[in-house]
Amino acid sequence: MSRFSEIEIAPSLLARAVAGDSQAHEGLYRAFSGPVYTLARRMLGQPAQADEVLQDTFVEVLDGIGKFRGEAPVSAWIRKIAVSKCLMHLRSAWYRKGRSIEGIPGVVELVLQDQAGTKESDLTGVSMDLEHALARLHPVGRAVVWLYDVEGYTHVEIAEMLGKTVSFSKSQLARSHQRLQAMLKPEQGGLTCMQASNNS
Amino acid sequence: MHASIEQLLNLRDAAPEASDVADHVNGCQRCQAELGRLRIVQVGLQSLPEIPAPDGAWQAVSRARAGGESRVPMAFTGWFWAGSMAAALAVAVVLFGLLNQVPRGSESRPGSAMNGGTPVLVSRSGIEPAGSTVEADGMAELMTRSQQLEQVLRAMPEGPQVVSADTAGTISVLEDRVALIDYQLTMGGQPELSAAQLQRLWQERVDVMNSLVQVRYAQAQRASF
Repeated sequence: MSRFSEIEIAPSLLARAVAGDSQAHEGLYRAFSGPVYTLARRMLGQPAQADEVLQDTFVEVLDGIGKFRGEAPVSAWIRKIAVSKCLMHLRSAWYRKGRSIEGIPGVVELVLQDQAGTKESDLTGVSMDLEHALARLHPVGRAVVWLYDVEGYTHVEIAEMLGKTVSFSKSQLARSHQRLQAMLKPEQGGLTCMQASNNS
Repeated sequence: MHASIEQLLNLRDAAPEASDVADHVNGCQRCQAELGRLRIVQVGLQSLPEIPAPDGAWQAVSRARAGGESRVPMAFTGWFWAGSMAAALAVAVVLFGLLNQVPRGSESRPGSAMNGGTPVLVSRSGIEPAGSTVEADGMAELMTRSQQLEQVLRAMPEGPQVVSADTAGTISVLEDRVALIDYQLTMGGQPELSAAQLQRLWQERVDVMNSLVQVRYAQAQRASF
């Protein structure tokens, strides 16, 4: 489930943040920076863009927190801003240009390796885990998978955010899962039932 | 006729689905297996570890808000600056050392990796001194890794014509370090360099190349701003 919903912010901290207390602002950042950054990395796949989403999100959150009235949980509000920033990246021509770099052999693995902080002796091997498989999905499909399967958005909400139809969202989800299944076949060294249950 | 992925996803998520499809899936081993895999993937996705925000990100947010800057590159704050300063210092120290000794075998100095050519040391096989006890596997792995990083760097698009001084400086420091390591590795063909020293140099080369790829990658992505 979405990590955003697991975070509880003390009402006093929120009140101080709304009042403009800079320490409370940092407290909000400390609480939500991980989930925001994770969301951006999973949706966009690229550290540089995730850095920018993280920064842009918190600039907007902290600039606007003074007007936060609490109609929705603060976690939902921050997540909405973060998702919106990610989708802006996905729509931009700049993002598509950046994506062309991913076609270079080894780049995706390097970025993932940097993320995991682990060594991989075989960068070209067929063995892929879920993280690798997710990173190899088409960006829009990857975003839909993450928003639907992890963040818990409905197809109606996703369609609205993407400016597309509900059936577009559904077909993106189905197509992406088809690709994931193909990449994760156990005989190719992918995710097995045992690995998945160990992760959960 | 087996259920489609979309139908299976509907069943997985308890969304409305035709009863004949549901009946089929209930009695079909293959569709059950597919449905099970879809559930496993969903649980796996939800269980992926959180990725911590990079160091220096909070400072970048604060600076962006305080200065009204549209965006402060995080890559050039915090640890990155410390790393760059350390890199520059290391280059200065080693250069000072080199200037105080007569370079041996300078005629065989390889071209810098960044000047177009794959360094001789990446492809040559005679890097190990005769009779060395170098652990061949570890060395070969480092050399292969180094070569892969070279290929990635060469395949990257040219950087933008206008680059910030910070970025240009960082790239320059890293490139100088690679050139310096290449120079030292060339000297490593002489018996004076031990196997351990060689391995350390190769490891350092991989580390520096890795940093260079990361910087160039971020630079290329920002190119159209």
